[in-house]
Amino acid sequence: MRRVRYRVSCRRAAFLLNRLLSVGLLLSEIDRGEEKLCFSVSYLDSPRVEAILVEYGFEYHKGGYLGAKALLMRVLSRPFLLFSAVLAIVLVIVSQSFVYSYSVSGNRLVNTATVEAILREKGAVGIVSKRSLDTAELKKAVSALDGVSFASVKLEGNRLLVEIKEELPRESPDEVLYTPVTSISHAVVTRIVAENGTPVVRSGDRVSPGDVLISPTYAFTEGEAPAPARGEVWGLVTYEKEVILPLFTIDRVKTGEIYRSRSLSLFGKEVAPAALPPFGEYDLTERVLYRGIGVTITEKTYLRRAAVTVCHDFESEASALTDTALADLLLTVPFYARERGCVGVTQKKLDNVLYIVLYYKTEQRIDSSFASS
Amino acid sequence: MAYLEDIKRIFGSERAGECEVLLSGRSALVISGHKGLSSLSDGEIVVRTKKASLRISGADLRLVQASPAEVYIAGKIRSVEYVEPTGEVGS
Repeated sequence: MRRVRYRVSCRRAAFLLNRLLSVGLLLSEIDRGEEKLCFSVSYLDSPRVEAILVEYGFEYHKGGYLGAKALLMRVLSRPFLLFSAVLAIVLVIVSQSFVYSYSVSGNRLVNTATVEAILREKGAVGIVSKRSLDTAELKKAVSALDGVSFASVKLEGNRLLVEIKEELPRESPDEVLYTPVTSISHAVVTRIVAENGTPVVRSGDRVSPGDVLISPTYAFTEGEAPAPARGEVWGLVTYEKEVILPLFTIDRVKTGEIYRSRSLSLFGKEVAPAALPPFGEYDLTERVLYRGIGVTITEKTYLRRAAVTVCHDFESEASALTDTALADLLLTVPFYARERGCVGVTQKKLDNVLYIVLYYKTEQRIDSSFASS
Repeated sequence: MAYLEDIKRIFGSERAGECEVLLSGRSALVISGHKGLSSLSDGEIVVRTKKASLRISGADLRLVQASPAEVYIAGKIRSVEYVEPTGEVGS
């Protein structure tokens, strides 16, 4: 326990001691000198001591704590504890002089394994003494790697940090493409704006996919020179869809007849197959009734279907069929051309078959440069 | 001081009293059951007890430790004697 030592100036030492003892204090190391009294008390008792000294007007000096000395004595009396503490301190000091790990950061294109190989080659991988580590040399070696613009190698605690700044990727020089602008669909050209190159079609021309619209040349008085073709070409494109509805069709309809049978499988092998239904056309559904310890019992349900000749009513079914076909047709039209077009429908009956042809005409970009963008 | 209990048992509590004085050799003295200190000097320490004061004479006397129950005195002890309140020296 920490103790506090007091040196009190007093002539009546006995009086002061009696006052202190009257409040139950334990005084130790009492030393009486000429007109002074020295004693030690517990640190916890010091407020009571001081209260008495102040109350009776004694001048006093509060000495240093005795705790440090006591602590030292206690530590010295525990050799194993002392040894452990010293050993811990030594280990901490020794461990601070080694590098245990490393990290590579900042690289995106430069391979980390390449940097690690450099570190390994220079002996910077594993448990390495800080003294034997030459960060300047490591920095030089890492900086020499392809794609590394700047490298920083530094120690942070027991860790080697390698930070890399990469070179900016080399920009490829602008490639001048002397490719023509071509058509991407069947269309009738409506507008053509050639920003560069020479237009080879005019408004009203009918073009097919792959036809050249703007050639990559520039014509002048002495001939032609290559020039990158660039421009916008608009055309009237027709999307078409035909649906056929025969007057009579043969449909396979469910008759409502159901046939059920069960099969038994042992460890995945069917040992008792399900019986087949007495009818040939059916829809089959399967349901596992039991599965456990290698045994599987499956129930198969056969729903009979039969071929039935259906007579269609053109008047009533044509409208619904047209709507469905139109929806399908619009799905084939590019989204940027869907709202500018107009729909046309023609119907004709031929040999008990109704032919419905839908047209969707729209003006849209037909040049390949637009399609590629 | 468990043996003091034995002393009380042997002499009886009336004879044993409430103050015990233990002199160990000539240099260590323990007084338990005291009532305070009357005087303190190198040559003499007077300790009050319930019925009389106890005067310890000698040289280089020091109060090593003191508590409300006991005082520990060290030094070259020459005599320990009771002093009656009237000033007479008791046995």
